[in-house]
Amino acid sequence: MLEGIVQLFEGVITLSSDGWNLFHIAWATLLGICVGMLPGLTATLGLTLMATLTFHMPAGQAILILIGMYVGAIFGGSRSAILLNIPGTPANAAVALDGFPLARAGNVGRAMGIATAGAVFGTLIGMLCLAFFAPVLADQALKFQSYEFFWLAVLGVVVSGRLTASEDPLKGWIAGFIGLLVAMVGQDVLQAYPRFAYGYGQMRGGFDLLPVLVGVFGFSELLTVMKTPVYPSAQTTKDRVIPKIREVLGYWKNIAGSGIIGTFMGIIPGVGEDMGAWVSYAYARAISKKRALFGKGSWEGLISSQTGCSAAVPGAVIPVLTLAIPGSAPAAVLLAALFVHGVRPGPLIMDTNPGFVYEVVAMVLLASLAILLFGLLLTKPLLKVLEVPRNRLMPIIFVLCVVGAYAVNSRVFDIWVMLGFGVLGYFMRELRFPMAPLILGVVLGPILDENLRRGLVLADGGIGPFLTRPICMALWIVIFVTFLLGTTWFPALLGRVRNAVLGPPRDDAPYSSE
Amino acid sequence: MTEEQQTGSVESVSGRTRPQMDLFVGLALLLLGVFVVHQAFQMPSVEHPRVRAVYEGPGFVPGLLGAAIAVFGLIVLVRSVCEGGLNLKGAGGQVMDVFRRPEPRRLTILLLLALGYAWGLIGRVSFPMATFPFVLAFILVYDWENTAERAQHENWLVALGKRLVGFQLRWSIFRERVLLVVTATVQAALTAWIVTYVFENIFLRRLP
Repeated sequence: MLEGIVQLFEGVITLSSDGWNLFHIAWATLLGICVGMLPGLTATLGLTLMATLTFHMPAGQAILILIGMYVGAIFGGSRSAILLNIPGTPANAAVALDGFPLARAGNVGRAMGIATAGAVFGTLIGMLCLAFFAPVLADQALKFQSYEFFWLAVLGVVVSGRLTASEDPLKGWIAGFIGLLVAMVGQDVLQAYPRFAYGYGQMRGGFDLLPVLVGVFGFSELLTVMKTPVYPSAQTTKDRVIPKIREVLGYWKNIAGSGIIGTFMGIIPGVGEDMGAWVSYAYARAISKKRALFGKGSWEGLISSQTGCSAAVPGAVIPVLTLAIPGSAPAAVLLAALFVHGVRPGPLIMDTNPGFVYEVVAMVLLASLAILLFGLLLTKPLLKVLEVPRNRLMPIIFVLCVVGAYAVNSRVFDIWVMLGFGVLGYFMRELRFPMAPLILGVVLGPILDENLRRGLVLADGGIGPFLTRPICMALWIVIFVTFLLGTTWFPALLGRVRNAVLGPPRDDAPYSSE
Repeated sequence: MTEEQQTGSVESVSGRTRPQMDLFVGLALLLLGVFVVHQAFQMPSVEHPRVRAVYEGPGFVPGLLGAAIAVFGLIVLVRSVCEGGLNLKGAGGQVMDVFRRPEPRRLTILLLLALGYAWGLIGRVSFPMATFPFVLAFILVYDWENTAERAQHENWLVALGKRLVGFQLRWSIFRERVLLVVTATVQAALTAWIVTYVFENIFLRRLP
C-alpha cells in the first residue's frame, strides 16, 4: 500500500515536472472538451482519431493525450446537455434531464459550475479507486486461467448488451455476438487457419480494431449527424459560474455515492459512462428529499449524474490495465492504443510494469485539474465551440477518418474497412442496435476464441472446470441471471412472486412526495 | 443515444423498431447465422492431421457464434410475427415515405461523396488533390440551401442595399452564394494543405 502511494507521488511529480507533459495534457483536455461539446462528436470518436494521430509519439505521451481527451470529452458533453438539451456524448444524457431545465430557469452559469464540480470530484473518486483497486484486481487476476477469461469475455458481451439496450436487450446481445463474429475473420490463434478470408490476402490478418472503430464511431456518426436537422443556438451565461465551496460540499452524499457507483459501472466490461450517469441519477433520486424536482431542475440530479459519468472514466480504465478488457467503448480505443504502443496490459502489469498503473493515475489527476481550470475559467470562450457550423466541420472529420484508418498500417484496405463498418454501424444504429457491445465483441472475440478452445484442450474436452471453479461459477451465474432478466417473462414472474409474498406495492410511494 | 432518439424512420411509438422491420432483421440474422454455421463446417476439423478434436478446429467458435446468431434471429422473427409483423399491408408505402423525406436524400449524397472520395480519388491522385474537391463539394452541397435563409437576415449592408436599390433578396442570395463559394474554396485548400503537411512533415506518416 505504502509503496503504491510512493509510486503514485513519483508518477505525479515526474509527469508534472516535464513542461511538455503539462502542455500535452492541457491541449488534449481542451480539445476533448470541444469534441465532447459538439453534438455528433463523441468521446469514442475523439479518442479514435487521436489514437491514430498520436501513433508516432512515445507511449507515455500518447497515453497522456488520450487520457486527457477521454476525461475532457466526457466532461465537455455536459455543456451541450445543459445549454442545448442535446447531450454532447451519450454519457451526458442524464445530465440534460436536470441541467437544461436549470439553465432555462436562468441558472446557466451555476449549472455549468456545479456540473464542473461534479466532473472533477467524480474523476478524482474514480482515480482513487483506480490507484487502490487496480493492483488488487491485477493480483486476483493472476489466479485466472483460460476458463475464467472465457467467462469474462462472455460476461462483457452479455452485460454490456443488457445494459446498453435496456428497451430491447436482445438487440444488445445480437450486436455483441456480431462483434464476436467480426473478430473471427482472419487467422485463428491455434491452427493459423484463415477464417472467412476467401483467398483475399488482406483478410487473412483480420480486421484491425482501429479502422473498425473509426468506421463505427466516426463515419457512422457522421452519417447520423448529417441526416438530422441543425441543432438550436445555445443560451448564454450571465450568472456566476464558479460555485461556492460550501454549496458543492452540501452535496457530499451525492458526490460520494455517485462517484463510487460511477466507478463500479465503469469497471463492468463494456457498460461505461452513460450507465454510470443513469444509475447515479437513480441513486440521487432515491436518497433525495426533493424527488419531485427530478427532471424539472434538481441540483442533486445534475451533480450526481455528472459525477457518475466522470467517475466511470477511471473506472473503465481499471479492467483495461488489469484484465486487458475495456470497461467502455472509449476504453476499448485506449486498450487498442496501449497495444499499438507496445504496452501489454493484463494481470501481469503489476509485475512487468508496476509504475505504469500509477503513471496513468497521475495522468487522470492532471486531466481532472485541467477540466477544473478550463471548466470554470473558459466558460464563455468555450460557448463559441457550439457555433462552429456543422457543414464546415464534418468534411474535415471525414478526411481525418480516412487518414486515421489508413495511418495505422498504411493500407488502403483499412479505408474500405472503415467505410464498410461505418455503413454497417449506421444501419445498426437506425435499427436500434447499440454500438458498445459490437465493439466490445470485436475486442473480446479473440480472448473468447482462444480461451474457450485452450480451456477445452486443458480439460481434455470436458466442461467441468468451466462450471465448477469458484470464480467461473460466480461469472456464469451472473451471465445466466442477466439473460433471465433480459427476458419479459422472468421479471414478470419475479414481480408475481414478490406480490404473493409481500403483498401488492403501494402506489408509486417512493416518487410521489416532495 | 441523442441522434438515435431523434430519428424515427423505423421506430414504433414505444421506442422499439416496427414488427415489420424486425421481420426482415430476424430473417437476415437467421440467414447470416445459418451461413456462418455452414462455413464453419467447411473449415478443417478432425479429419485434418493437426486437429485432434472438434474443439481444436478453427470452425468451432465461429460455428457456435453462428448458431447463437441464428437462434437470436429466430427469436426476433417469432417475436415479430407475434406482434403482427406479417401484416405487410401499407409497409411498402412506409418504405416509400422514408425515401421521400429529405433525410435519405442527404444521406445518399453523403454516401456518394464519401465513396467518391475514398474509393474514386484516394490512391488515384495525390492526397491534397483528392481532399480539395471532396471538402469543397461537401460544403457546397450541404450549405447551398442555407444561403437563402442566411440572406433573409438583416444587416446594415443588406439594409443599405435595400434602401438604395430597392430589391434586397436576390442580391443577398447572390452575395451569400459568392461568399459561400469563396470561403468553401479557402477551407478546402487549407484542409488539404494542413492535413498533408501535418501528417507528412510532423507525424512523418505516408499518406494514401
